[in-house]
Formats: sequence, C-alpha cells, structure tokens
Amino acid sequence: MGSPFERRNQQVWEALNAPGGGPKQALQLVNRRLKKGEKGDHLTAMRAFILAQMPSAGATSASSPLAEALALCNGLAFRTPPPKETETIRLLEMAYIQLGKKAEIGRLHEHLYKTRIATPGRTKPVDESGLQEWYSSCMKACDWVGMQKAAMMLQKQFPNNRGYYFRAIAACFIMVVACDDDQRSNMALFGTLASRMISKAASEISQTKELGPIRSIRTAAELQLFYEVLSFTKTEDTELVRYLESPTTGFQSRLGSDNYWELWWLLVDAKLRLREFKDVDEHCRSVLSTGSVGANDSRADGTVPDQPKVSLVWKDDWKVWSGYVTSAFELGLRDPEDPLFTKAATLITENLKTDGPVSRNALLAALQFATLCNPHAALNCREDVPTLLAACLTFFQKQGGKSSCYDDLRPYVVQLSIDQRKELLDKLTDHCSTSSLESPDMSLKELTDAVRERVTRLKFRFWIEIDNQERAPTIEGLDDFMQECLAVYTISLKVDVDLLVTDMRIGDELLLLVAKGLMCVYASRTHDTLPIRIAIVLLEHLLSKSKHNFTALLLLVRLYSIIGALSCATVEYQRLGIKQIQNDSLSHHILTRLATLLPFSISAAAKLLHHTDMADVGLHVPANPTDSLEMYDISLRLYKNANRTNPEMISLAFKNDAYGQIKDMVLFEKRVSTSISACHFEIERRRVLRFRGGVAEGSGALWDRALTASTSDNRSFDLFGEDGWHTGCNMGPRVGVQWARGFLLAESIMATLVAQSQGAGGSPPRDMPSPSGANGGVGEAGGKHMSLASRLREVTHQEEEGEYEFTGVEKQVLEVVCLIGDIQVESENATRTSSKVKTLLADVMGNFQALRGGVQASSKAIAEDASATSGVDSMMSGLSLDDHRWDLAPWYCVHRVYMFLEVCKYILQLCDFLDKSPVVKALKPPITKPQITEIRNAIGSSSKSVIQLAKDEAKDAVLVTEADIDAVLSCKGLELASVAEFLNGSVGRERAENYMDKIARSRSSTWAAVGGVKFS
Amino acid sequence: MASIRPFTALDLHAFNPTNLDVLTENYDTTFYLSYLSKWPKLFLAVVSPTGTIMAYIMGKAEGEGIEWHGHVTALTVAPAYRRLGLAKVLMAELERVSEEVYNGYFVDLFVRVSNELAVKMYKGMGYSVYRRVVGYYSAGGGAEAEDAYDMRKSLKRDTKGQSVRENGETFLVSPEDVY
Repeated sequence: MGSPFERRNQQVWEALNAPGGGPKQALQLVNRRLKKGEKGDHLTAMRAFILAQMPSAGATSASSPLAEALALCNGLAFRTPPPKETETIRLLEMAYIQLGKKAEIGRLHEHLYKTRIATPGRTKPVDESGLQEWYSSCMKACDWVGMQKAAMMLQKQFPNNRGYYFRAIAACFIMVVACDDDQRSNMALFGTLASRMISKAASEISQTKELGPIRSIRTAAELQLFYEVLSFTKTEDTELVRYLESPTTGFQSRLGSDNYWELWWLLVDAKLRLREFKDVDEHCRSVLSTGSVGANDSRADGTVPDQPKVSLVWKDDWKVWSGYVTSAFELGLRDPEDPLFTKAATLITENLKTDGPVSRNALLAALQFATLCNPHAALNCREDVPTLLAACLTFFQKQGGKSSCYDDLRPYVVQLSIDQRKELLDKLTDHCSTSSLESPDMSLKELTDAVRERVTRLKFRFWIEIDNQERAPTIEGLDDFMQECLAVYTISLKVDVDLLVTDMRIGDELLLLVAKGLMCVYASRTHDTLPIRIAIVLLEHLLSKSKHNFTALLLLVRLYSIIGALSCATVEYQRLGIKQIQNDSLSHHILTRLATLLPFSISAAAKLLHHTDMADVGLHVPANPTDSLEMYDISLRLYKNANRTNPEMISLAFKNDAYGQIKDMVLFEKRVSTSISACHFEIERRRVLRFRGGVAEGSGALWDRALTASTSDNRSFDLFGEDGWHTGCNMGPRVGVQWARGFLLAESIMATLVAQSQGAGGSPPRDMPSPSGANGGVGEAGGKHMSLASRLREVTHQEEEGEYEFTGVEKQVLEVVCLIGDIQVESENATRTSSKVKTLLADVMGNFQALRGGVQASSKAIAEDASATSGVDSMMSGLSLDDHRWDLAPWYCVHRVYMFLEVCKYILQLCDFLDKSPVVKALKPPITKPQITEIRNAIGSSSKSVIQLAKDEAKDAVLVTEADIDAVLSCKGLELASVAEFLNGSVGRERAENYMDKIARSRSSTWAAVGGVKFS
Repeated sequence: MASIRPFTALDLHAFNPTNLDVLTENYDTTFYLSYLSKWPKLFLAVVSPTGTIMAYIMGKAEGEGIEWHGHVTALTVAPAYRRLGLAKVLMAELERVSEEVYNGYFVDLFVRVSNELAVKMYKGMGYSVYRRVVGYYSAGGGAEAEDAYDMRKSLKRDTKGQSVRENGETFLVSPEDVY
C-alpha cells in the first residue's frame, strides 16, 4: 500500500470510476478532505478535474460546476509560482481536455516554462527539457497552437538540431490542416511560414553526395513533407512541376527514390492541370507500355540509377489509364487528326476488339474514352472511337462474369439516354440468352460465369426497370423480374458448391434483388407490412446458406427494426462483429433512435443467437446482445479512448518522422473527437437511463459539443445502395446536428426545471451562449444570449426550412419542452402574475392531448394492420415515404409510445416545479394544488393506459395464425406468384412458420418492454 | 477501376467494404495508426475513383541480419472485388517496397493451413512454405487452435536463397519460435 495520501487519492479515483458511483461521490470525498483542513495543489487539481465531469445542465453559468472547474484550473495553472508536481499538471491537463479547453494546456506550459526561465539565480537562458515538455504536452492534447509556439521556440533556440526545424515546419502545417473552416484565413499565415521554411530547406539540398547544410532536406520523409506542404498551400502548378522535375527534389532524384511513383503521379497530375497534354500522353503511354517512365537522367549528385524503375502495378493502374485517356481526348479535341490522338484511339479500341485477355482497367479506359469523345461531333464520327453503348456492351461481354461488373459499368450507363439504357438492357438479354444454363455441355466454370453474367444483367434490370422513380413498374413486370431472379437462383445452387462457411454465394445477390423489389412494394403501400415479412423470410433463407453475407445482415437488421422486432434486429447486428472504429461509421444502423425502440434488454433474445455461426469464425458472443445501454456504452467507449490514444499515435508518427501520414492522422483525430455520433449516442444513452429510472444528467462538457462546436459526420449510409428502393427502409428523417442540438437543449431545460424545483437553480434560461458562439466556452459570456426555449424553437424551425431531422412525435415533444421553457421564463417575469403561465400550461396540456391522440390512433392502425389488404391498384403509386407513412409503420408506433412516456415524465417534472419552486409560489394569483393534482392525474392515467395498450399489443403480437402464414406463403394480395412458388418450394411452410414465430416473439417482447418504463 | 495508393488514417472511416467481411480482423485503432507511423510505405490500399476501399495490405519491416524482411500483417479484398487480381497487385507492390525501400532479404506471411485457396494463391505468386507453426491461431468460441504456414519469397538481396527451404511443410516450430 502507498502512503496515506496516496490511499486517500485512490479512494477518490475508485469512487469516480465505480459503477453506480461517479463525480458526485468523488467530489464528496474531496470536499470532506478539504473540510478537514487538507490543502495542496494536487487536491485542488483533483477537485477541478472532478468538477469538470459534473453534470452542468440546470445550473447557471455562475454556479455551474464547469465554470468552477475552469476557475480552479486557471487559478492554479497561471499563478506565480506555478505548481511543480507532474501529477498536478497532468490533472490540470485532463481537466482542461474534459472542459474542451485544450488551448489552455499550451498556455499552462508556456507559463511553466517562462516562470522557470525567470527563476532568480538561473544562469541558463533556455531550458530545452522544459520546451520539449511544453511541445509534447500540447501534442498529446492536440493543442496545435501551443505546439507550434513551443516548436518554433525550440528551432530558434537550438539551430543545430535539424529535427526541431522540421518539427516546427510540421507544427505550422498542422495548424492550418486542423483549423476549422472559419479560421482558415487567420491560419493561412502559418501555411505560408511552413511553405517558406521547407522551400528553403529544399533549396539547400546538396548538389553533391555530401550532406547539405544542417537545415537542408536530407531524407525521403522530409521531401514528402515538402510536397505535402506545397500541395496543401496550393503552390502554383508550374512551380510544383519545376520541383518535381528537379534533379534534387524531383521524382528521379536520390531523395525522391523511395516515393518515386507517388511523386511521378504528382507530376503528371500537375501537368494535367496545366493542360500539358503532350507530356502527359508521353509519360502515361510509356508507363502503360513498359511499366517505366523511360528516360532516366543522371541525378544532381552525378549518380545514375542502376536501372529504370519498373512497376508492373503502375503499368496497369487506373490513374495512369485515366491520365492517358484524358490527354488523348484533349489532344483530339484540339486536332482530331493529331497522331497522338489516333495512336491512343487505336490502342484503346484494340482492347475492345481483341479476343485475348484484357485488363479490367484497360477496358474501363475504353468506356471513359467513349464517354469523353461521344458528345463531340469531330471525334464521334471516327471509326476508332466506339459509341458508349457499344463500349458498354463489350465491357459486359468481357467482364459480366465478375462481381464488380455492375459497379464498374453503372457510372457509364448513367450517361446513356433512357432509350439507350433500354436498348443496352435488351442487348445484355440477347447476350445472356446465347448460352443456356440448362446445357449439359457446360463446364462448372462456364456455368459459374454464365450465372454471374445473369446476376449482373438482373442488377441492371432492377435499376432500369424496377427501381425507377419516373416510371413505376407494373405488377406483371415485377413478378416477371422476381421470377427470373429466382429461376437463376435455383441454377446458382449448382455452382455454389464446396464453399467455406465464410464464403458468400453467387446466388445471394439474387435473393437480395427480390428483397429490394419487395421493399419497393412496401414503400408504395400505405401500411401493409406483408412485403417486409416476406423479405425477412427470404433474407433468413439466404443467411441460412450464406451465414456471413454482411449486406443481407445489415438489411435484415433494418427490416426487423422497421417491423418492430427489435430484439431480432440487435441480435442480427451482433453477427456483423462490428467493433473498434467501425462503431463510428456503422453503429448508427442500429443505435439511431434505439432508445425509443428498445431501451431495455430482452433476456429471451439470447436464445435467438446463432452461437454456432459466431463460433465458426471465433466471434465474441456478447453477454446480452439486446442491451441498448451496453451497446451505447461500447460505442461511446471508442470516443473516450480515442481522446487519449489518437494523440499518442500522432506523437508516435512525429517520433518516426512519418511526415506523410501526420496530416491525415490529425484530420482523423479531429473527425473522431468531433463525431456527431458521439453526441447522438450520449443523448440516447441518457434517455435509456431515464427510462430505467436512473439519473441521466449528462457527463460534463465533453458530449455536449454539438451545442457549441462544429461536428463531423463519419457515418456510412451507402451500404444498401444508392437507389430509390431503400426509401422503404428509412426509419424517420436522418438525425444530424439539429437533432442533437434540439435534444441537448431539451435536456438543459428539463434539468433547469428540476434544479429550480429543488431550489438550487438561479435563472439559467437566459444565459447560455448561442450556437453561433462556437468558440464560446464553459460559463463564458459573449455571443448572443437568448432563452433555451427560444434557441430550441430556432432549432425546430429549421425543419420548416427543409432540414428534416425530427420525426413528427419528436417535434411534438420538443414543442412541449419549448412551452415548459417558456413557463420557466414567465415564472420569473417581473410582472409576477400567473395568467401567462396558466395560458402556457393550457398549451402544454393541449399538446399533450394531441400526442395522446396520436398514440391511440396508431394503436387502431396496428389493429387494422392484420386485416389490411391494400388493393393491387394502389400499388406502385409512389415510392416516397413522408411522415404520414411513418405514422403507420410498426417501428414508429413503438417510438411514439416511448416519446409519449418521455413527455409524461417531463410534465410530471413540470408539476414538481409548479408545486415546489419558490418563483412559482411567488406568482399572484397562485397556481393552486388542485390544479397541479389534476394535471398529475391526467398524466398518470394516460401513461397507465398507454402501458396497458403496450401490454395488449404484446399479447396480440405473439400470436401467429395459420392465416398469417398462408398470407406470407401465398404473397396475399401482392400477386407475386413466382415468390409464392419459391417460398412454398424452397423455404417451406415449417421454416417460414419458424421465421414468423421469431418475428412475433420479438415484436411481442418489444411491446412488453414498454411496461418497464420507470416514473421515479 | 482500381488505383493503388498509400493507406491513410482517414481510410479507417471508409474501409467497411473490406472490414465487414467476417474473416477480416478489425484491430484497435492504435494498431493501424502505429503501422502508419512506423511503416507507412508498407500500408497500401486499392481504391476506386470514388474512394471506395476495394482492398488493402498492411505490412511491416522487421528482423535482424539476414532475417531483415518485409512481413504481411493483413491482406484483404472486399467480396465485391474478388477475382480481379487485386491481392496480386498489393503483394507485388509490397514486395517492391520491401526490396527497393527497405532492402529486405525476403517477404513472409502467415496463413491458416486450412486455407487451401490462399496457400495456392501465394504459391502462384512465388511463395513457398518455410515452416509450419503449430497452434499459431489461438481459437475463440470453442473452436480448436490451428496451425499456420510461414510462407516466404526471396528478394534480390537473398542471393543464396537462404530465406526459403524445400518441404517446409514438415518443418514444425512452436509459436514462441516466431515471435
């Protein structure tokens, strides 16, 4: 054990990190020690660090723990003499990071350094280790301004240390890279400084084999930094070309050798921008034909490379092909008879004509060439210029058997007219029909290729004929399409043999196409979920054979969510094995609005897990796959850890002089630390905690950044494809910055209300900086000040300007919160009368009744859903889903119930405020107790009836009748005979019934979970 | 459409097409960033013009004396872009960098013994089994541990062919011998 002091500190840390503990308990321990008379910088810094993590919502800026933390930090950090202990300084740094005040860390270390230098009796004018500490502390905190200042001092004080010089250049560069857009012009100066310093270093590179001056560029990494700076500061292309062709700094120079090809491409790219097409043509043609740039001049130091650099990789790189095609086209545009154009046209077109193997990039170059030349009469009449349509067909004939064919070809097919697309589709059909899949003479390879070609063609057919926003498909067309998909799928089973459990099958794409077609049907119907249920059965069938098809899994997660089978959705999501940084770009697929869909875990869901499947590939099986709190915590852990680890890695890159990587590492750190998902997940996590009856007041300034700072959106949305079919898969408007701001403000209003009810708060609604004061900080005055309710209204009004982020019920709830905020403000009004408060109260209850009405209406819709048979005539009437459509979606019914219960809690908190707050009690005439009791009773009975409704839903949902199974197996009312035949023949009644039971159990448990909401 | 370029930290937000594949490990972020910091020339991606990561390779340079070599830590191709030769492209570039920039004696990699397709592919690229590492892949989820082949290919500097041996499949070592 350590000293008593260390043991006491340990107690505080344990309290801070204990489950169920937190900053409040830790602060109590510290306060107790202070009360007993214990003093010391370390204890003060510890107190500041704990305060920086305290919930701040509901407190005035003056009484905010964050403001107190900042005052304590500043008082300690900037006093003279400053604190000396390393641990105290580390605590101060951590507190500043927690407060979002990274810039103060640089100032702290600058103060420490200057005080040390100014120490009486000190003889040395500089302190290298002090400067290094200043520099590295800023780097670890990502305080780039502070780091640059320290780096410049280091290079100035120690001119013979060349490392300091290049780190100073990198530090100036990073300042420009990392700054927000609105600061870019202020920071431009540092970009210029970096550019001048590194250009000087480049100009001093030795012309001989000897090392140059101490501050000249001597390594490949330093040369890379040189080009990074030049590129970022937008140096003139002519100058860039001069450097890249120079014998000292060019791609063929001694120092450029390690980055030969990257620098060569930089040169070609600059020449393209300079429209030096003859040079580009020559360079690219040489590389495409020989893998070498060709002429190798002797270097500045007199040495000659052993032999020309040859790269088989660059010989067929798309960039080089693209450069060649562009230069040839531009030369042809200037003069159609230019021999270089003719030569290129021949070479490119030959690739289309030859029967031998041709690289994919070479064929794509032909497509690119045709795309560029076709619109120009002077070029498109030539025999050596193919039409785009012909080039597309040839590409398909040669590459149709590759799984990448559709993605490769589609950008070019987009360039064709509607009629040309149809013509192409016909030609693809003709091509495919030349071989029969039933032919006994086909080898397995030939059959595989033929099946793949058909898959590609069917993808085009889906895009051109089915998923068409302008011309809705007929039912016959849809059935015919699905019939073909399923027929090819049956054949594909012959080629999908001897696969590993981890392999994906060729036929997967076909069932995915049918599922997408069904989602088109769902999107066009009012509230019939039958197409989704059928799509789920098909995807489950797909995954029973191809267990790890992530596209199918992701789609299945979404379909289960839409249908309200949330425990199934969360379980399937776990099968994707998403972890680490993937959480930042992918976990929104399950976590968006999960707090209002499944805030509780469903223990029975563990039975749904595919244990064997997971074990196949050694995947971790979570203890409780449906626990939303655990899922939010896992995702949020990424951001907490990244705060520490990403700066450490940047520091490592500096240590290794990996200058070429630093820019993107800095941008990556910024993206992660400002991720909008972190704000969303924190808001939803707090909501989950509230539903569970816990305290969820937030965790200091760290997660509330969406209110005051710019955010980064790192989410990936393109995994389902870019077409219109997925509108049927949308679950409400996409949440973004306004959504986060709206609910953060709502939390602040409600926390203020609670604080005032307890007599702890002052008058916060008027004194928070507006979002426009992005650089404003904790407890900082400045910027336009307005009430929280007004700011919240500002956010919700963005909706009216077309920035949709809230569902209808979310907007309704926020409107109620706005009114509650108004009541707070009005209660403190100088006139001190209750009339306005009473009017607002009536508005609150009016909105509440409207919300309740919505919940009841949706319950009726659910009841009707089972018997709903929208006629075929109404199908395909349109593919867009507006909020009214969501009103009837199963997920939305659950979401609406939880939002309703959330608002019930809010109004009960309002009742407490009316009952207890001194400001309300002072109003004349008073708001009477019976009035408040009446509101409480109304809320109580409403919430009880909604929970009863949920219980009834849970009972009903679990029942799967024979008629339900018949409806799925026969595709009742959808007139999709081909799908019905497949379901009956390939899936079978028993398995279909099992899948439907699974859905039913999950839907039932989703509804049953509503009963767990606590009103403590 | 495929272009090779250095992998960068920002690609960590874009590599889902490869990393959603069940056999592609998702490491802690620091693992990727430390490779970028230490061996940036051996971390390469093949991308489409729109920035889709189609495949990537992550490698390092390690060893002493005649054991100084390039090592393939991870190689993955997104399912939609398989059978296009992208793995071959990435391996060729890693070999070039190992030879021209790091001046290594050989390139090596570890592969599951059961992954016959991969073993065949690497043999087609000129690799041969140097030794069999018993129980190299520790199992999770109740499955048994699996052996790995350490496969190698000599580079120009290995003029005597010391990096390779015949019948390496029968040369058994324990995991401790290769760390």
